[in-house]
Amino acid sequence: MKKTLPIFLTTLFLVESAVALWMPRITTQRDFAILNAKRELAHQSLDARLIIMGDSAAGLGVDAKLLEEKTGLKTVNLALLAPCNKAAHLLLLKDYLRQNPKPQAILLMHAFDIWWRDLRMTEPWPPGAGQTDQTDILARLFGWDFWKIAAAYQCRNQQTHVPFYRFFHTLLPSQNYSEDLRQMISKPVDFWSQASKRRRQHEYAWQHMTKDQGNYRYYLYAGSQVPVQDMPSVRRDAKDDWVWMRSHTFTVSAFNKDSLDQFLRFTAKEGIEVWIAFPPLWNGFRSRPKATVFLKSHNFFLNELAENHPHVHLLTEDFYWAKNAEMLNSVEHLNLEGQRRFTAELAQTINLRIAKAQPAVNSPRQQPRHP
Amino acid sequence: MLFNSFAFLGFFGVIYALYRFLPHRGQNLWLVCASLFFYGAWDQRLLLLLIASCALNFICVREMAARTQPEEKKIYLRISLFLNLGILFLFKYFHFFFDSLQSLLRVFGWDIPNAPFQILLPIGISFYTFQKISYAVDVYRGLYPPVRSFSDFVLYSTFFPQLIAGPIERPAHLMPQILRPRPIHLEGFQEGCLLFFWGLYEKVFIADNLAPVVARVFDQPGPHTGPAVLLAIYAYAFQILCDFDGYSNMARGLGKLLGFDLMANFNLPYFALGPCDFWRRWHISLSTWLRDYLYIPLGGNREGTWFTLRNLFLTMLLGGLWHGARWNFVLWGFYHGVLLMLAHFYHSTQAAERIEPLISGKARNCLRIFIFFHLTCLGWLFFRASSLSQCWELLNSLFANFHFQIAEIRPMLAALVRYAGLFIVLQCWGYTRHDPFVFRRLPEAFRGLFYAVLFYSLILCGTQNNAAFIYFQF
Repeated sequence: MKKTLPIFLTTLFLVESAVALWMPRITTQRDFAILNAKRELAHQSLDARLIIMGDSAAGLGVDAKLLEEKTGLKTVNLALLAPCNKAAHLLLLKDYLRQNPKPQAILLMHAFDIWWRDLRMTEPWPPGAGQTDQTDILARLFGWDFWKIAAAYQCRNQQTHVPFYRFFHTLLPSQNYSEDLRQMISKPVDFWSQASKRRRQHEYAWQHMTKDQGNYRYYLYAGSQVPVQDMPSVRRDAKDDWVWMRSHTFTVSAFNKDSLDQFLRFTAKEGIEVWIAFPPLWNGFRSRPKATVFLKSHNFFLNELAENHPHVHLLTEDFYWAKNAEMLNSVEHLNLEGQRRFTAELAQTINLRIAKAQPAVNSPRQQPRHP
Repeated sequence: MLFNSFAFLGFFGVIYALYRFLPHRGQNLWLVCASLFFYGAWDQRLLLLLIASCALNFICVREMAARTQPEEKKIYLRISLFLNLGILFLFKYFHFFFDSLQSLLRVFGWDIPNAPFQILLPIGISFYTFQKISYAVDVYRGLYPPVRSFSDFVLYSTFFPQLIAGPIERPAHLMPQILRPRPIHLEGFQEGCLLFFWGLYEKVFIADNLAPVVARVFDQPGPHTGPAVLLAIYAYAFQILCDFDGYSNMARGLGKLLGFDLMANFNLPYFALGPCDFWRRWHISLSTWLRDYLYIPLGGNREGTWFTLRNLFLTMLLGGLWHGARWNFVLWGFYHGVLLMLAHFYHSTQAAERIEPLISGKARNCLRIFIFFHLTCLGWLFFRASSLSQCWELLNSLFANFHFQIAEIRPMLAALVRYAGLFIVLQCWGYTRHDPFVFRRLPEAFRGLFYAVLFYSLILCGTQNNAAFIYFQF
């Protein structure tokens, strides 16, 4: 035992060090770099009056620079990706408020499936893709702050089970890259054949996100460039979404409900308005009756939110039904053309809303604290 | 609070931190509190039942020991047995027998209403009931004197590492460890950590990862092909072994950390040469309990072949029923009873003497292991099936629908090799060295690497769904 324990611990140390140094270069989890960059952005002094929050539908759907030009409201795009729900947005907002004065409003936009995801969800989404686990992603992104939120959630909802054991997982690099390591073990040929490609992609993404930092605050990526249009993948995603909508009813998961409640309480307390916009969606869904039934439930849910909370307002009344030419590689993702058109529509509504609210601007509650 | 949960890690950390600094009496009282808290964490209502049952047993046995006349002693023993078995029957078997009676009467046209209440099944009731019975019987037989302190008896009955799923300890083995101071050595600590770690690996990496392979056949409607059923049965054989052996090893490891030495429950059971050998290797604490408190009191092998066969059969039938209040457990007990009877018959009629010399030593053992492993697997089919009709359906698939569908069996086979491969290799090596923990024989340098492999298997590929142990339902 004299030698066994040191050898065991040395092996662990070597493996963890190798993973920590090497895996970030070849990981399949490229999206995490975007989430981290967005969090770093929230720590900067941005001084915005309008913050865009949501998932990639908001990140790619709204051109924050254009919106800023058209509305005159200084805007920042803090949209995250699918596994991040309202708890993530609340933490991000709190981070932001540590460095910045309160914004006038938050523009909130999500794809329809986001509400369904739960904290413990490890189901693949979209079907066939890699496992998504909110707990790990939120814990890696926000660390201790997330666990405080999770503990408070557990106290409020005794019957739910928060996977607190994952707290220890985030301490080990091998756990943070467990998906990659599992793939490396179970499908080594696939993993290594893709490794060099991923490395190149990683370097490109890193350059993409760091070199053009000035623009990064406006877009999901650092630059205004978005990947080229990919119609076959739109159709594939649409098929997956369609199959899913047929077999599910619109639901809001327990954790999402609770996080949304916390988010709305916080924004109400701080006097920040929440403007909800329906996300863009491929117009092919309009001809599918079952999909429209499903999406109606989504609309009803958002309408109810606006009715029940005085500081929540709907900017749009229906999805932005995107044409084929406006779609990118997912049914909720817009290309530059779609982005421009959708942003212009949103800007128009926001201007109308501001014009309507003008008489109330002088009242102390409505006045933004931003100088 | 499962052993494989972080809640338990926190619980044990607190218990152990204080335990190290307490004197012997304080340690015992601290363990009683910990055990009651541990049990209460499942269901506080059932804690009352556990304490009441401890109190009644303690009084009964003390009264029994105070009597000098054998007849009077017997009365108290009967009261104690009636209490323990009555509680077990009421909480575990009432609904089973009531529902069975209801179904039977319905055949004759009598419709009796459903029971107007639902009785909760207290977790671990079969284990702690048997442990208390062994105490009462051993005191009655004069094998062990009655304990004076109620708290020591409560600790004997509720010691948390083995409270829920054994090993079923005997007073002669556990009680002296409770009554005497327990020195805690570094070796004991290392041994305890190793046993717990190995048990965790068995449970979280092997058993829980094999569960979906098993569920693919047993929890989904058929028809399945014969090879798929066969692989699911193989997977279940290793799932149940690793689940239960994992629990037992974790319990033993925790015991070692606290200075206790709990009995080993498994000894390479799939290398059994026959049914008698199997029951010397599988769930040893239960099989020896059944031998000492059921088979021998029934007459054992003292009254001729037919009585021996009857006793073997009855013991296994009741052993099957002990596992759960379902007909498939009865069928499993029946099956093992028949196997034991056939084995006894085979050896007693000189058939063995004529057949076995035909094959040389090692090959004979290999053949016997192979045959009996498959007979055991067949028994697991009865054990795992949700109903008798499913048993029949799967047997039909196994024998009448045996054709290969590569797409169906490939992932099952891959999972079986991936999760149980190393374990099987270690078991084979262990068999040649007569040591279930054969990996301790590795050179020290390799052992460190081996533990690192186990560690990464556990944290990267171990399931994190906190699945309960299979034997908790019993």
